[in-house]
Amino acid sequence: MVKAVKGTFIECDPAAREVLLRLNSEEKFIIEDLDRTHLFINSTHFERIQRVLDELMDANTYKANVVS
Amino acid sequence: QARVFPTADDTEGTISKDGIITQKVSQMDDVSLGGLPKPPAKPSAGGEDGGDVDLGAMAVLDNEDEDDDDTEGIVHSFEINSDSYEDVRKRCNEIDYPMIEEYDFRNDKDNPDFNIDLKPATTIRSYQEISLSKMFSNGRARSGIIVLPCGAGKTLVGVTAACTIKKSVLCLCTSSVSVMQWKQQFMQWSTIKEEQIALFTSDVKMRFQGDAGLVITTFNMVANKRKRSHASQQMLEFLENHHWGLMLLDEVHVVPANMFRNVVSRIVAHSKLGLTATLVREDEKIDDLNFLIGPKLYEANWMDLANKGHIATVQCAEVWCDMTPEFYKAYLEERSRKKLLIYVMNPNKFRACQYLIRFHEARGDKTIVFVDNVYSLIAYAKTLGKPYIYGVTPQAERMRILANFQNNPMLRTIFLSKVGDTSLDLPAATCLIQVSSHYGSRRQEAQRLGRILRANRRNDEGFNAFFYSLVSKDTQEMLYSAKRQQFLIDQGYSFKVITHLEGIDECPDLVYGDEESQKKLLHTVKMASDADAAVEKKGAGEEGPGQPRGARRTAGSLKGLSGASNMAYMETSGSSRRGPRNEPPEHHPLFKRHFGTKK
Repeated sequence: MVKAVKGTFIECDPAAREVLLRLNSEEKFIIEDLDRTHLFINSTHFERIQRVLDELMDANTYKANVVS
Repeated sequence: QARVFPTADDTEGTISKDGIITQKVSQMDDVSLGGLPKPPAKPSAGGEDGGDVDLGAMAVLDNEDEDDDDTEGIVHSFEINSDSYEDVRKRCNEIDYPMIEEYDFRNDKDNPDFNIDLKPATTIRSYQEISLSKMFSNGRARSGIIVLPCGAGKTLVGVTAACTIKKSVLCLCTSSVSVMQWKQQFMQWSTIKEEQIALFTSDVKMRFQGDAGLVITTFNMVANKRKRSHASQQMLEFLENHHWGLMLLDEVHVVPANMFRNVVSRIVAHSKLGLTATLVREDEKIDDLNFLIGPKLYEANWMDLANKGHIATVQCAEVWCDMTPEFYKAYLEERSRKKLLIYVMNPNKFRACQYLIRFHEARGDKTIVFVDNVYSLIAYAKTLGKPYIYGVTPQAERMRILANFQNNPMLRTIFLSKVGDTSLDLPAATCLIQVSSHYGSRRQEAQRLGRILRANRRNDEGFNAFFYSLVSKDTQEMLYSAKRQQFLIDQGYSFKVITHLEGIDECPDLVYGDEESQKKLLHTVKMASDADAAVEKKGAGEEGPGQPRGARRTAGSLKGLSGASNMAYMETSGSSRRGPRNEPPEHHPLFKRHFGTKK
């Protein structure tokens, strides 16, 4: 029997790749680490890691208090 | 209106407030006109004024009669207890009846006159004149704060105010360097004689001759409540007992700090003028300045001044440097303050910094590089081979490096830590690179910018000064950087974002080009301790009252030093600083009489 897993090909910058590698150490989703800017991961975790990355980017962004 | 009801019987109005004031009525008559008013309804303030009344502040209310065409208004005044001064002002602010402090210096006969004038050659620029007119508009000196950008001539405003009031002046600065600068400016712009100036720093304690004069000192010297040396103590008493006509506060944004607040209340000054370029603080205490000193009298428009050539036009840019993967991994792993160390020591930042320095040196610009963190400062300066100044650098070496920077065409770049933030006068500097900074401090960003606003060449056609802020991408630094820029953005500057420096890839032999050296750098950074990651404490190079200065020398004969000349060994039970003793030791009844009974 063939067992198939759905995979997603990710292209990102080295910094984001580091973040993903770190997340991987907690819960494995990387199938193959291709090179400095490409990864191949398990699709089921795709939503989750996208959210994590968004939160990280948000934390580093300054939101000015707009006076109405 | 709640204001004034001239009562037929003067004493009645004041009895409700405080019985003792009635005796002072006769004294006040020749200073103010008209009767004493019934005090406005201030239940909380009234309670606090109980007890003896000193000749404290005078609250003056201008009142014009409703039906009159008189040009002359009637002035009513009453006194309040000097201790409750700050509370009264706060209360007045709360009941929407804000008080402005004004000093009628022309009619003040009690304080000795101080005859100084501006030198005839001194010219005041239009915005300086406007700010002073706001201060002196009534013919009286109003207390308050004047905000002018760095390099726009705040010192001259202070000197002019002192020359107008013509009473004793106390000038408070942030550091001993600024004390010298103020003295030099006073001598340059006004007719003051050198013996009328007294400096008060940890190195020198002078007195001025005559009844009235100018004292220049630092906030640290007068704010510190710890035990002082005898000379300092005497000087402090002199300052507190003397009546000052004007108190000048340089960089007044530091005053709300708890340490400096009491300065303003302990020293009696009839009017206070605060000068600063940045009326912002990261805590909420900036509002306290309103009742500590006074309202903001005037704020200059930076863009306007730049257009007129009084300060340099600046191009501000933020350069985004990528983190190398190894460094970013380390950054994500670190929990503590070492994160700062990691994103500052980013190899790509080194390269960007080096590239920019080379670029501007080739253009003939003189560059200052600011690095807050001492560990990084030394690393950057040594790697790139430039001189650096930070808190521990001795005064002589600082002067030497700065003099070289100013005059020597061979030295075109220096590295500074926080000590370079304020008050350093470097008119040769035309380019500023900021590598690391103190979190989100807007004030610091603006003050640093001030170092290049005084550029000598600012009046050349099309001259631009440059301000670069190097930021490591995807780290906390981005957040802090955006916050810091807010003040400057409010002033009208816009920050361009440079994501990639043109030509940096072609530039030969920049440091840390290969992975091997980057890994080595990461290793050294990881070895650095947590303490290295801290931002340098301000004032490390500045004096404090009781600090030991290096080695202490005692002279004496060998015999004396080894104890042979009349020195006796005496044991004490601990320093006098310890609180009162606990119960005396209990003795056995048989021996009680031997030791004596103790109470």
